[in-house]
Amino acid sequence: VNFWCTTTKAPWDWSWRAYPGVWLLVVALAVPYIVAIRRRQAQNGTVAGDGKRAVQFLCGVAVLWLSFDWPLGLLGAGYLATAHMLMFMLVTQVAAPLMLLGTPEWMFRRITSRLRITRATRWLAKPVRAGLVFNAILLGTQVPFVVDAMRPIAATSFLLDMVWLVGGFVLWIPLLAPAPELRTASFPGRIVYLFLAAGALPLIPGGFLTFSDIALYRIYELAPRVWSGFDAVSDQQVAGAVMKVGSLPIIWPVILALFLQWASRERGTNERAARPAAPPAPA
Amino acid sequence: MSGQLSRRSVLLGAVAGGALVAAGCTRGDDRAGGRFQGAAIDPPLARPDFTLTTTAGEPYSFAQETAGRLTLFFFGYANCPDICPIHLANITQALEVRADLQPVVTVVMASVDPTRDTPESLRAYLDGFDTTYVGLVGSTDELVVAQRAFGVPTATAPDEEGLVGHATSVFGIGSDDLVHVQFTGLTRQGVYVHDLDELAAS
Repeated sequence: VNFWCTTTKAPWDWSWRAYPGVWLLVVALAVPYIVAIRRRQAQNGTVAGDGKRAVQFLCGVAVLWLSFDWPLGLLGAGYLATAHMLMFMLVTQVAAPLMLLGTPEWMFRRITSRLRITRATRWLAKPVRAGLVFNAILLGTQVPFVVDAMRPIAATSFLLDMVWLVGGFVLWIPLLAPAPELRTASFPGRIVYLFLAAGALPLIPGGFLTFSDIALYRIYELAPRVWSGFDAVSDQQVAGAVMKVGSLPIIWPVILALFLQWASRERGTNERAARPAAPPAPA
Repeated sequence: MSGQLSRRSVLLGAVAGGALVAAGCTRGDDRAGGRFQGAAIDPPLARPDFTLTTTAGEPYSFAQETAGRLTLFFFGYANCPDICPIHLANITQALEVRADLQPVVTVVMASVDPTRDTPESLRAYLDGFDTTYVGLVGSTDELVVAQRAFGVPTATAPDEEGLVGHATSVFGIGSDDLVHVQFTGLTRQGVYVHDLDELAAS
């Protein structure tokens, strides 16, 4: 039994396989979270929003589980570039932001302090840096040489998935950091950042995958086919399309929400400015 | 599953290794300064001569039917879960990239599973990749002759999981009627694209 999904040359047959490392990760994320929240509530009482945050965090962990475990994890590790890319999207665009949304400010500060990454987090919270680092992670972990080298070994396959998770946190920190001082203040800045970092730059590597006429990833090219007729190049083209447009269902609603919040705030400011000054009180 | 795999891997490895020894092959690639990125056969072998039957029921004398044509030949079977569909998919993709070579290339697969591969099922299987690919069937004895002609060990009967141990290489034959190169089951599309050029120049 492998602890993490890796490349296998076995024909794909939909028979379930156990990956205990994935379960350990899920437990290691969910249990300490629940215990910490309970302890905090025992000390300080229930705080408004605790329940909603817990649901968000645990949904994020559930998405990680779905991404890393059988069948998607195994398909992505050794059979289909499409599954590999879907995993990347789920981890960076769904799991990571949900986990950030679900993390209370006190917990975030405690974690970054204990891991001694407070300064690094502050440095990465700047949109330009976060965008560049996220896209460097995206590119670095999608290069065929890297994927071909890392996926066949459980330890490096695990490392690749963890780098994706870190990349997801980096991408969303400027928008969703539980510590308010880390969030980008300006609404236009947030919108432009999200559009460029998560929507526009991935179009470039996605284009390479979509338009290459031969298979680029060795492991997916030489893997037994999951579905006859869905060959390695078609699979790669779909993977490229997922990289190019897979984030759109996430980022465009977020951009729209940011825009509406911005408009609402501007309207409130204008109304306050237009309101006549209160008449002086009678002497 | 791992038990099945290791059995199959050992079997296929042994067959492939035997094929290399039997054919007296050496691996030649760009790094070694060879023409081919696949395993070059040095000296090249003469185009083998044997007769099987096409999926249309016609006798097919391999040496006569493919004489003077760039040919990719391999032994496989329609229920093969791994190597054969990878070969076919990668050859198909390479020929899409080098569409100019399509008219001069003949792809031939001889079934080593005479009990399950009927002419109709083999035709349907190959049509899933390309309708021009030639599918050959034959009796066990005829297949032994064909495998000996290529210097590869004889395929096994299907095991309890229906897996057939067989030589996994694709043989590349130039228009000079010489077998110049063989491609293992882990041959990438780019290698086929490169070596098709070399075979065309043979």
